[in-house]
Amino acid sequence: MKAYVIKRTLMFLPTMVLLTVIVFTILRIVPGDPALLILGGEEGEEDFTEEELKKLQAKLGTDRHIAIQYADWVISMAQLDFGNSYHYNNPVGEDLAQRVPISLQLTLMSLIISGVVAIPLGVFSAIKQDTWGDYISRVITLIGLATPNFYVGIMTIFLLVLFFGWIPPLGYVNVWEDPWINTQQLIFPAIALGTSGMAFLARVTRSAMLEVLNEDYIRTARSKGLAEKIVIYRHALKNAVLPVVTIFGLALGNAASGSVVTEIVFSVPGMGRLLIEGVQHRDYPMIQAIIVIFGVMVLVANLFTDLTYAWLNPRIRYE
Amino acid sequence: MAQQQDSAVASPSEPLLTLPARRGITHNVSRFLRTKPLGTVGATIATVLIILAVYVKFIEPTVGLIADPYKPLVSRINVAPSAEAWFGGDKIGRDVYARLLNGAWISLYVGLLSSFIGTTLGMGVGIASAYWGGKFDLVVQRVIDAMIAFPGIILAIAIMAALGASINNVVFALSVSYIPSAARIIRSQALAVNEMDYILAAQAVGVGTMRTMLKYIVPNVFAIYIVITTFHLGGAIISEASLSFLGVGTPPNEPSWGGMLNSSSSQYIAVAWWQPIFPGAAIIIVVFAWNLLGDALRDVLDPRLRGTGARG
Repeated sequence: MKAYVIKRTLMFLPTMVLLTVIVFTILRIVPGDPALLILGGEEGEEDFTEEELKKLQAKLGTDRHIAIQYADWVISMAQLDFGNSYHYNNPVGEDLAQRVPISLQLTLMSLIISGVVAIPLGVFSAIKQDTWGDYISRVITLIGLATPNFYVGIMTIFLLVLFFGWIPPLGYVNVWEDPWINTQQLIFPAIALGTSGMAFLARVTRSAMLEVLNEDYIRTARSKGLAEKIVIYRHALKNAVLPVVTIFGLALGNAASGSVVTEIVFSVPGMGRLLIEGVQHRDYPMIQAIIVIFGVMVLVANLFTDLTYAWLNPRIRYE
Repeated sequence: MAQQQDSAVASPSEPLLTLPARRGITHNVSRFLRTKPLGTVGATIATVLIILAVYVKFIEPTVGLIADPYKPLVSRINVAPSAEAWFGGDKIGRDVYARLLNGAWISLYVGLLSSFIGTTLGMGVGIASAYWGGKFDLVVQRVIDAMIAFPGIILAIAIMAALGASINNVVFALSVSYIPSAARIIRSQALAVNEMDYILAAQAVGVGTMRTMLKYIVPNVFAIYIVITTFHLGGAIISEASLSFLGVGTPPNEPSWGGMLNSSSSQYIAVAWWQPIFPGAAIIIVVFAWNLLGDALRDVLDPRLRGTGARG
C-alpha cells in the first residue's frame, strides 16, 4: 500500500505542472499581449501611444520573455499569490478566498443530494430489472441526462414562484452566521445541480449492481438460503459500491463545472460568477486562477479516489 | 445474394455448403429497427432534426414561410403565443417560433462538427499513442491526464475567454475538450488491436506506419468511435446551450437555444413562460433522442461497453 501511495502521489506533480502549462498557453499565448487588448479594445479600435503601451506592459510584466512570465506566475501561485485582477485592481486571491468556499459548499451539497437519491434509485432499478419500476427510473435518468442543469435551475425558480410566490433570498449569508438563511439560499441551487449528477450516478449504480448480481457468490448466498435483503445489502451492495467510488472524481468535476451555470441562474456569488465576469472583462489573472483551481480540485479528488480505491481493493495496490 | 452464392460453389443442382450470407446495409438497418424500438425513436427524432435544420438554413430563405428570426417588432415584445406568433415574442420583440426553428441549425452544426472533429482527433491521438507506445505514450497520457482534469465546460470556457464569442469558436472549444476522453477510450481499444497477429503480419510484409494505422487499426476501433461520437453529440448540444446561456458562446443575436434561455430571459419566466419553455423542451427532446440512439448503437456495435456506464 505504501509503495502505491508514493507512486500515485508522485504522479500528481507532473500532471499539476502540465495543467498550468495548458492554462497559460490558452490564456496568454492564444489571444496575444493583454496590454494591447486593454489599450486597444476588442477590435483594436482605440488609439494609444507607444509610451503608454510600454508603461502598461512593464506594469503587467508582459514585456518579459514568455517563459519567465510563466515561471513567475507558477512560483507566485505556489505561494498563494494569484496576481492582481486587471478589472478590479485588487489581489485575485482576496476575491477567491471569499468565493471559493461558497462554490465548494454548493458543490458538496449537490453531491450529497445526488448520492442520497441516485444510489437507492440505481439499486432499486437493478433489483427490479426489466419491470415497470425499472423502466420508469431509467426514463427519468435519461431525461435527467438530457436536461442542461441551468434549465433545471430556471424551472425550479419558475415552480417556486408559481406555487409558493417565493424566491430564495438573494446573495449569500455565511453558514456560521445564519444557517437557516444559508440553507434557504443554497438548497434549491444544490437540488437543481444535484439533479443532473443524480442521473449519471444512478446509471452507474444500476449497471454496477447488475454486474454484481450476476456473480457466483450471489447465487451461492441465495442458494444457502439467505434472506434476499441480506443478499442485496450485505453481499451485492458492498461490492457494487466500488465502481461507484471510482467515479467520485468525475462526479465532483461535473458538479463543480455545473456550479458555474447554477450560480448564474440563482445569483449565488461564488467562483463561477467570478469566472464569467472575468471572461466578460478579459480579466486574465482572474480567469487563469479560477481555471487552475477547478483543475486542481479534480486532480485532488482523483488522487483521493484512487487511494480510497486501492485501500478498498487489494488487487489494485499489488499490481 | 443467395443465388450468387449458389453459383459460387459451382454445383449444378444443390450447393454443397451454404456460406452465411454477408448481410447488406438494408438488412442491418431493418434488424436495428425491429430489435431496438427506443433507438428507432431516437433515430427518427434525429432525422427530423437534421431535415428541419437543413430546411431552415438552405430552403427557408427562398420560401419565406417562417418569420425573420433576427427582426424585432415593437408590437411583438413579450406577447403571448397567438396565431401570428405561434410561440410568442421575446423581450425585444423577435418571433420565438422562428428563432426556435433556426436554433435547430446552430445546435446541429455545433453538435455534429465538434463531436466529429473532437472524436476524430482523439482517435488519431489514441491510436498513435497505443501504436508507438513507450515514452511517446507516457508523455501523451500525462497531457491527457492534465486536460481531463478540467471538468465539463471549464476548458471550453477558458478557450472562449481567449478567442471571443462566435459559433466557430464554440466548435473549436468543444472539439478540443472532447479530444482527451476520446483519445483515452480509443487508446485502450487500440492497445488490444495492436496485439493482434494481423498487425504483426502487416508489419512483417513491410506495410508503412500510416497505412497500418488507417487500414488495420482504424476499422477495428471504428465501432467505438461511432458510439463516442454519438454521445459527444448530445453532450455538445448541451454544452453549446450552456456556453450561450452564460453569454460566452454563440453571439446573442444568433438564434441559439441556449442564448434564448440566457439569464435575462429567466427573469421573465413568471410573466412570459413561453420564452424559456420552448427552447428548453427542444434541447431536452433532441439530446434525449441522440442519447437513445447512442445507447442502442452501443448495444449493437460494441456490446462489451454495456454495463460499464461509459458515456464517451
